[in-house]
Amino acid sequence: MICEQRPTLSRRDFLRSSGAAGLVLGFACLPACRALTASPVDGPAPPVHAPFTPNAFIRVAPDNTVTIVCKHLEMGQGNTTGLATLAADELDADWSLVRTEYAPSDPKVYNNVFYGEMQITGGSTSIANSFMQMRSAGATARAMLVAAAANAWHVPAAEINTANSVLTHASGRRATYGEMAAAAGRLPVPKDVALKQPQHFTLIGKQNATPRVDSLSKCNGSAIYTIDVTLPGLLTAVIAFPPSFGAKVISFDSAEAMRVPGVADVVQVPEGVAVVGTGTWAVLKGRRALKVAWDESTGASLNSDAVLAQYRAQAQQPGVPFAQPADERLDMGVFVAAVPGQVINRRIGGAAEHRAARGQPARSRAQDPHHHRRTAGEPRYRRRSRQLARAAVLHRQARGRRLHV
Amino acid sequence: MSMTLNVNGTRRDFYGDPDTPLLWVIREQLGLTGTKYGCGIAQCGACTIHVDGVPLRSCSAPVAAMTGRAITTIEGLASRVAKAVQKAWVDLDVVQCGYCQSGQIMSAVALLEKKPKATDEDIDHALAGNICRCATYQRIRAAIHLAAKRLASKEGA
Repeated sequence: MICEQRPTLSRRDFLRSSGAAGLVLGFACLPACRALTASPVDGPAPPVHAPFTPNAFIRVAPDNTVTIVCKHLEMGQGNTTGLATLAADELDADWSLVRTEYAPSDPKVYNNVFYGEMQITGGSTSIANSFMQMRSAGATARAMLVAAAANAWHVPAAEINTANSVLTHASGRRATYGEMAAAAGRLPVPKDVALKQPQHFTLIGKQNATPRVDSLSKCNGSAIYTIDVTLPGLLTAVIAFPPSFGAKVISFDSAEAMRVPGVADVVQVPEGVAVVGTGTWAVLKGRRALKVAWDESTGASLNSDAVLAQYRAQAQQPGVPFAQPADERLDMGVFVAAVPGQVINRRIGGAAEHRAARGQPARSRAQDPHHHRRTAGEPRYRRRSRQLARAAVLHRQARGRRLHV
Repeated sequence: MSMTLNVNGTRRDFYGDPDTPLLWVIREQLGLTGTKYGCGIAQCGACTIHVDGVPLRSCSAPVAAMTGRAITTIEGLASRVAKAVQKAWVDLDVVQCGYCQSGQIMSAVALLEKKPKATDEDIDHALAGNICRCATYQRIRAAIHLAAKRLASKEGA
């Protein structure tokens, strides 16, 4: 639900800096959404000379670029572009000068305001929960730039126009946002900044106004996905998963796996048996050489044939009435096609999905970066070595998703 | 085993298991991560590269077979056709998650290098092995046509 009321931003929610980075502005949450969040309350303003911190949504640099910090994860749905659009429109920024960067993991600042203190991307909420937040960030930044220009030019703020990252006045005065950024950063953060009426949007909802910001990097191979991340000393792990849900390891023989050059260790993990080594090919070969005895007596009896038979039987039943138009009855079978679409993630996200399938909470999903940071430190993953912990966690993340942990 | 590879016009030394699929050499030893790992069994096309100009699934090509051959990855695309394809991809906002797109682009470039006037059928045939979970197929097809059109005019020169 999107509320079109004017936001009243608390001072505590703001953070600004007047350093070399120009104007830095951000806030955590809006009153309209406050009832859904933990406990943002008004308090003293941060120090005027607060050092640069990343809990901000907008930076205006002296070179006139605007950097918009996106708190959500880009999975291809385009929310990086969408979030930037929201702020850039209210800011009257020149889209060609807009840059984006991903927020660090900090659910106190970058939470999904629909879901409380969780920095989670999901449920098609990225734009909806951020709609007023990002617009207000842009509008407030614009108001401060206008105020700075009004001071410099000794004219009323209301007479100053903004468009394409430029401030102008009828007298012929003109300044780019970059030129006014440092002065704007020294001003108090205004409250109750009015947002645009929708008919004045220049970017929001405009076809072709905001080409995807992630196109180029995804067309020249430079985009970094989770599987592309490297860390000093990072090892790779693959897991021999049980042949059926819930099956347990009875024993395993790692002797041959350990003989594969590059295999560093073979360890039992909650999901099965992990082969750890210095490269993917080494651990894949190692896993092939691994012998695991499984106890399937506790495993689920479900198998592909049984599932298919179930679907066939289901297809013989009348469909669920989905909608009933005035003139004809429309029956639609409700078979959601999400699961086949998940195939590419399954092997790596396997254990977590198995758990979810059994009705237990999945531990490692790719949509909540803070969760990954917490689980990376879990003792059971730390017990052998930190390298294993990192390798296991990194390797469990979905491949088609960008993730900055 | 040690050997010398020709990757994106540069000589690179390799020492290791001759069975290693080229994909892992490219990604983990040479650090060229634009080529993606999808299925590992040559069924999805995410790992597509060019070997002597011909698209190949690098996840299933042992490095030992690469002696004396010219390997091109997404990072090494430089031809006029390749630039036109990449530009069309950006101009039409083809990508969504983007994970398969290196492979899609490699297959599209190889197609247009061979068939500058590719038809829908040519495209379907040449890219049938490149799977996109976001289902960007319609825009992929449009982008290939756009690139071909520009290449045939002065715009693509």
